[in-house]
Amino acid sequence: MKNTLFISAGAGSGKTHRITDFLFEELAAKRARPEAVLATTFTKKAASELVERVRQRLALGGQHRLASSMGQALIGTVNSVCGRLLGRYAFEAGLSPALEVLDEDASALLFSQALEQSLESSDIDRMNALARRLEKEDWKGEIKGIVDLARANNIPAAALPAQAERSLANLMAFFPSPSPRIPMSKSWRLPNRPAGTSVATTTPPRKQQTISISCRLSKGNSRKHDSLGASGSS
Amino acid sequence: MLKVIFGPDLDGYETPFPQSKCGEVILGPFGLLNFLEIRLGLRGICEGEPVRTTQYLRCLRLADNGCRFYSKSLSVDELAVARELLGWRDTWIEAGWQGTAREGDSAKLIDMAAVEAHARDYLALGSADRLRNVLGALQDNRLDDIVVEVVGGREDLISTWREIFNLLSAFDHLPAPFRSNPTAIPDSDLALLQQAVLDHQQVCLQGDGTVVFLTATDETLLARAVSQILHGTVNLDQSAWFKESLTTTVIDGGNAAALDMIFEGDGQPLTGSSTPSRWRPPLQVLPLSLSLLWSPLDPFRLLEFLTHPVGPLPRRVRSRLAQIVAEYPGIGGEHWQQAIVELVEKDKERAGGDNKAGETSALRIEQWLFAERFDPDEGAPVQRVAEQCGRVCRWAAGQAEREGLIPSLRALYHAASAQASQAQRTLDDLAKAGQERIARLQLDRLIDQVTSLGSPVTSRSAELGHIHLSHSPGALIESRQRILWWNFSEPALPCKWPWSTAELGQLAANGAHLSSVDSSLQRLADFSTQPILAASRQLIFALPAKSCGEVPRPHPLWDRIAALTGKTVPTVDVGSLLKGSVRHKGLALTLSPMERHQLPQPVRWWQIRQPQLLPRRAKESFSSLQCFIESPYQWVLRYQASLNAGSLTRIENGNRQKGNLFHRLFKMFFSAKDFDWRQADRGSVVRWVSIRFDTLLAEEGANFLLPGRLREKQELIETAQRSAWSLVEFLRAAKVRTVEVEKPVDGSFTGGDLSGFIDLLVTNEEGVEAVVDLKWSGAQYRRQELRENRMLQLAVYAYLRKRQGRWPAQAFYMLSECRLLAQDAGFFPNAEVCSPGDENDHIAALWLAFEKTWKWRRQQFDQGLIEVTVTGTAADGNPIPPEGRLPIGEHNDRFNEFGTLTGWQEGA
Repeated sequence: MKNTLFISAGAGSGKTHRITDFLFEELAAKRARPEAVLATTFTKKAASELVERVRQRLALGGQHRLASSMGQALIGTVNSVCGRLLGRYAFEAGLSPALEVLDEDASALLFSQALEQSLESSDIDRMNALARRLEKEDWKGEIKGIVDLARANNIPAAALPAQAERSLANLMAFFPSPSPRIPMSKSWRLPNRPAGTSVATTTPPRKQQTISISCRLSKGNSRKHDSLGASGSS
Repeated sequence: MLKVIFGPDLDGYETPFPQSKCGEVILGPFGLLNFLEIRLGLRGICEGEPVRTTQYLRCLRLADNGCRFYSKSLSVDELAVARELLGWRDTWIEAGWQGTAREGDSAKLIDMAAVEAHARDYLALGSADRLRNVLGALQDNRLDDIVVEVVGGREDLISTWREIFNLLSAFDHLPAPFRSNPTAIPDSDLALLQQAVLDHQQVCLQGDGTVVFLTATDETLLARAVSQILHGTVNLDQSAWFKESLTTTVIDGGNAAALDMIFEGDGQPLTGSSTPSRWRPPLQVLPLSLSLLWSPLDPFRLLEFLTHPVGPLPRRVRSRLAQIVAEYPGIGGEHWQQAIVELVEKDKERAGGDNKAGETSALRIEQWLFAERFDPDEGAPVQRVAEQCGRVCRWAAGQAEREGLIPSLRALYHAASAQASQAQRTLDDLAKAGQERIARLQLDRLIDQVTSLGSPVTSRSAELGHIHLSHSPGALIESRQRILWWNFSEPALPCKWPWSTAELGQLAANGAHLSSVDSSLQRLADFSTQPILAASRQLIFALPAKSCGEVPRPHPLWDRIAALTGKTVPTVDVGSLLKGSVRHKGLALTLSPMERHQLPQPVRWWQIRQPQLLPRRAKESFSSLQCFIESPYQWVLRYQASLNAGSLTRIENGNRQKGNLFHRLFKMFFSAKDFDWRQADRGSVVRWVSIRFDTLLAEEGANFLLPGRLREKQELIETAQRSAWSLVEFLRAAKVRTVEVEKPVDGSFTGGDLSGFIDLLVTNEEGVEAVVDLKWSGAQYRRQELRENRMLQLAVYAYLRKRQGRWPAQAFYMLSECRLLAQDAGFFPNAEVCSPGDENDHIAALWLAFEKTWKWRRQQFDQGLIEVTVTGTAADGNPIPPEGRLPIGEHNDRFNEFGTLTGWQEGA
């Protein structure tokens, strides 16, 4: 991209102030028109603040007409800006012009419906059985998490199967070679390993095998220890 | 000669001055259009927008060759496309479009022109067409007896209006008198601000109370303050010694109905404001009844339909059926059938045994609830949906004719009837155009459009002497002493046209001269300064800090005022006034904070003076005895005071519902005549459960059949299959021969009579009985109960089946976990044994402990003492509990439905 101005600074250090100044200068100098401004923020409050500050600066500078035109600028949350853009170009995109932003509940419901349409009934039974073994109450939530991450990181749907294979291969590399299939009628588990152990396997008893994996997850500055117990055949 | 004062914001204008206006009329665009049509003899039948939308859809379809700019979108959401493009078309026509396109014009214009060729045949007139017709008629008919005064000038009006004014005797009224000569007290803040607006010069306000920005944490508090200000007296003139009451106009920046709510409480005349809403009860019946057309049936919508304040079925019928749906979400099951039979019988009785009354009642239920349902994607037959709309229309019209109905409700029924009629008319049009079915999404769009305008509450009519209300700043054409701008928030601002500059140029070449967004914004900015200039004594801007949970953005005028005054406009926060930290002489505010009262805190014991009010009950059950022992306050409130939680608030949608479903399943399973569980193999058990469970879900678990819940449904069926087979295995291992489900039992105990229903009473080949209680989950808790010998529920049922001193065996069967828990394996060899640690702990000892505890509690009640075992209180051991009583937790309020009666924690 040309003419890129990158502002990186800590909270409260004046990024919005800088952007306000920048927009004011560009608009006042007629290098930009309000209707040609596009800005996204994380919250509605931030968007509102940005519009107001620019409008106030323009008004204080006697640019009343420009100030009143700030309503035409495309400033809002990512959701709102994208929604307005899609609405504006609905026909070009072959979409309905009556687009709505879904709330979280409606979005989860639609995801469930879409998932149902893409799975056979037998797939659902298999996933239910697997989830029971892994003591996961809601595997739809796990899949939605993956889909959301893929969307957020712009990973195309076609790339997911290969990624899943790689992920599985990486996981399976920690396990011993498969033994003959073991009946699952009675499951039991060993106590979890101490938190922080990267990988631990136990010697399987003669008929049943239990594996306990402890994963160390890091997020930001905090470290979380999450242990996942899996019982069953390898 | 008639003088017409015209302004774009003057529709619905009411003058605040009572003097004679004979020979003069003030009109906005709609008013003047109607007036001119009547004068020119053009008034015809006007169709509603929903009908026009479907008519335009027909035109779009006729012109669609698959390559139109709207073709793809039309295939996705045709009514939304029709509504959007009809809006385009009307805007263009109003601006002078002739329905044409030239070679080389954009695809949008060419395609719209192709559609317009059909619109001439199929589309009813809209306001834009009517305006063009007026213009056409005026070419041949001059109305020389009318003179029009255009407020604000005609320069920024759309071209059709400009052309109309050119044909009338019109002159521009620019500017309004007060704009050039504002009349505020010299040197007051208001005068300074007026001068600043006119001269674009900066000023510094002194805070004399003539210009104030008023805010409060929420709209209600702000309205309360505004009511006092408007109805109080102030002294704003330094030279005057008296306080005066100012004549006021309130500008409604949104939700002036909030002011009326407060005025009503203060005994002040109402302004008659009521925000139109589509959520008025009679208006919701149409969408609710149509939502029942779809398969699978949504039990949540069915419950809404039945619990709605008004509805086409009698209230007693809706109420009874709603109870069934809440407990057994579905339709048509055993409980439903039984309830309907009872209701029909009652109707018959009410009619003195007339069979016809019963039949009519049954037919009505059939029509509204059991009509055919359709797949939402394939759609319902258009005619069938239209019939349903007609039915709602007739019902609402009938209700509106009822005697003794309050006028506001009558008006709402009329509105509901009109909406349903409009929907029916629209669907009839679709059917006439050859459409056979309508999908759910499209029907929702149609109903959304039909109901979008909603209805105000018509009982809130303006009362004599009310504060003058103006619906927009542009409608202030006369000077007032005080102007209060209520809800001084950002209005809907003009948006950029959805067409490119090139397309706008092409439109202009085809006659449509659309006004630019800049000029619309400028007009808005000009009009927004009217209140500043029209006020002569005081100007107040009122904006709450939060409205509907969000921080409202102030009106753009506020930035301009801030710039002109250097942010010196005094801001008065009503909250600060309440704390006594601020006083403002320009505002007649005498608000005082309400004293804070602590709600009653919980106490461990309630003492009543008349213990005879707590007699023994004629018959106890396990549930009542559990309350009696563990939560005496609940026993008193529920069984003596007969206080019960309503059952209609929500649908059972959790483990309790799953447990209910499995109970019903096992009842069918063990009583099936065509199936013998003793002989069946795993496969046949699984098959039987699969087949029966589908029917059961439709009748009592329809929430599991809703789209998006397939995982839960299949998991439930799979659990049912496992659970049924696992139970069969346990029973076979115990050589059980008979199983009785929900076996009624009764007997007597030390406290009187006792009865209940045993989930499963099983008998083995030796004739020995066992009591099995079914639980959905919670094996850990039940194990503990058995190990600690405090499984009172099993003990109660076992006691009622005790024969010749011999106790039957007892066990818990955990449905979702497929576990059978018992204290020993004597009866069920495969049970998970949870033996008590002490060999003296057995069921007879438990029963003995129960009887001791019961007597101890009874003594308390006989003394008028009720122990309130809730969190926030502590057991004090007084009265002294007997040796060997049942262990009772200090607090038993996990399922306390009486939290509001048993006391509140500090700070609540």
